[in-house]
Amino acid sequence: MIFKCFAAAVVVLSPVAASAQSETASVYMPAPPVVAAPAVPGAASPVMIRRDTPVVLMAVSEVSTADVTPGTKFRLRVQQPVVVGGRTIIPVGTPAFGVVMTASDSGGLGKSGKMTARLLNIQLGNVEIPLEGDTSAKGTGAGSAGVAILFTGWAGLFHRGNNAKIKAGELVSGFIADDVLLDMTTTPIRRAVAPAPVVTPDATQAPAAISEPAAAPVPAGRR
Amino acid sequence: MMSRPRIRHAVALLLGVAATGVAGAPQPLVLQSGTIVHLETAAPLSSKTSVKGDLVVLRTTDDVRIAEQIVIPRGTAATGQVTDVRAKGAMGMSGRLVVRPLFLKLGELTVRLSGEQAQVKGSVTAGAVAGMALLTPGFTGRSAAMPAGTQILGYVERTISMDAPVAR
Repeated sequence: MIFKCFAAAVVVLSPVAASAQSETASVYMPAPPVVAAPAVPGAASPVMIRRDTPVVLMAVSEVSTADVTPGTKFRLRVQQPVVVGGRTIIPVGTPAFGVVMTASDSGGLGKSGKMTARLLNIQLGNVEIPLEGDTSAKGTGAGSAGVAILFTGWAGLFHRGNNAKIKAGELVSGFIADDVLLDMTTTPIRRAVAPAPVVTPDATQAPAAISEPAAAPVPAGRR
Repeated sequence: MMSRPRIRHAVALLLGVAATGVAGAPQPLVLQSGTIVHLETAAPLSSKTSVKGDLVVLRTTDDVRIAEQIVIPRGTAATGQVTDVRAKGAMGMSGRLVVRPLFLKLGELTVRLSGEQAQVKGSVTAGAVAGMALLTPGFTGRSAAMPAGTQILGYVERTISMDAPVAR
């Protein structure tokens, strides 16, 4: 009995010692990742990609206001691997998608095209990983119609501006928009089901858990 | 042998100490959105060599504190991106370079940044442009140069909760 009490004291006092140690800290040092590290070492456990994880994408082909309209989807690829807990989860070359939000074509009198686009998702296996991020482009180098008229005469009135472009190879950065739990063991990769929350053996919660079936919803007609 | 009342007393004492320890446990630090982060460029940039989309290295110039606790130390590396580049052109068109802060990392934690876009233009006076353009229409402007140490004001974009501080 005495030994049990002693053991309980050691277990109970350990957080006290830890908190006392942390009180001396003056600089925030991030704790090691909790969710990113697999519960069981190995590839079998699901991997969490956290919201706000940065991703760098590259436009695969040119997107120009000459060809696109708002709503047009375009393709990108992951340019830098996304690594979680030392393990590459989203490799380079994984396809991603964006969508054109606004696009105004270039026009006469040197009017340049303008375009805005936002990132949609990364397609990793069967999983669509949502993204946040946007980019904009404006046609450049066209100059104004006034300058064109100055040098070319009335023909300058027909001077068109340049189209706005997201050039092939242009880097676009974004962020993961939501926490995504991945099951890396399946081919193709799928979303993993989040484990059920662990019920703590708390004396105050135990009666509620037992009485839960009694509070089951009653059909509306029987109320 | 300890008597039963004494054992009960010892257990109650231990539980009391444990409760005190939990109450004194460090609270998670909350970095509010909108918190100012002073940044600077770590290397010189130029509209000659930069391309739109390039990632650039930034660093913090001041500590960011929450309740006297340093959460982002001075000198922490951050990442920015070149959002616009215009090369210098004919008739005195000067170069242009725009950089915006993106994020910084504290271990596995990502702090998203937004804020002021550092923008520089190649400096040529209007008079010089007009004069040189009349004399030599092929006259070009200057490239935009952003020296190392250019100040950028960033803001924390999203409120995040950090774990309890750990001794360094």
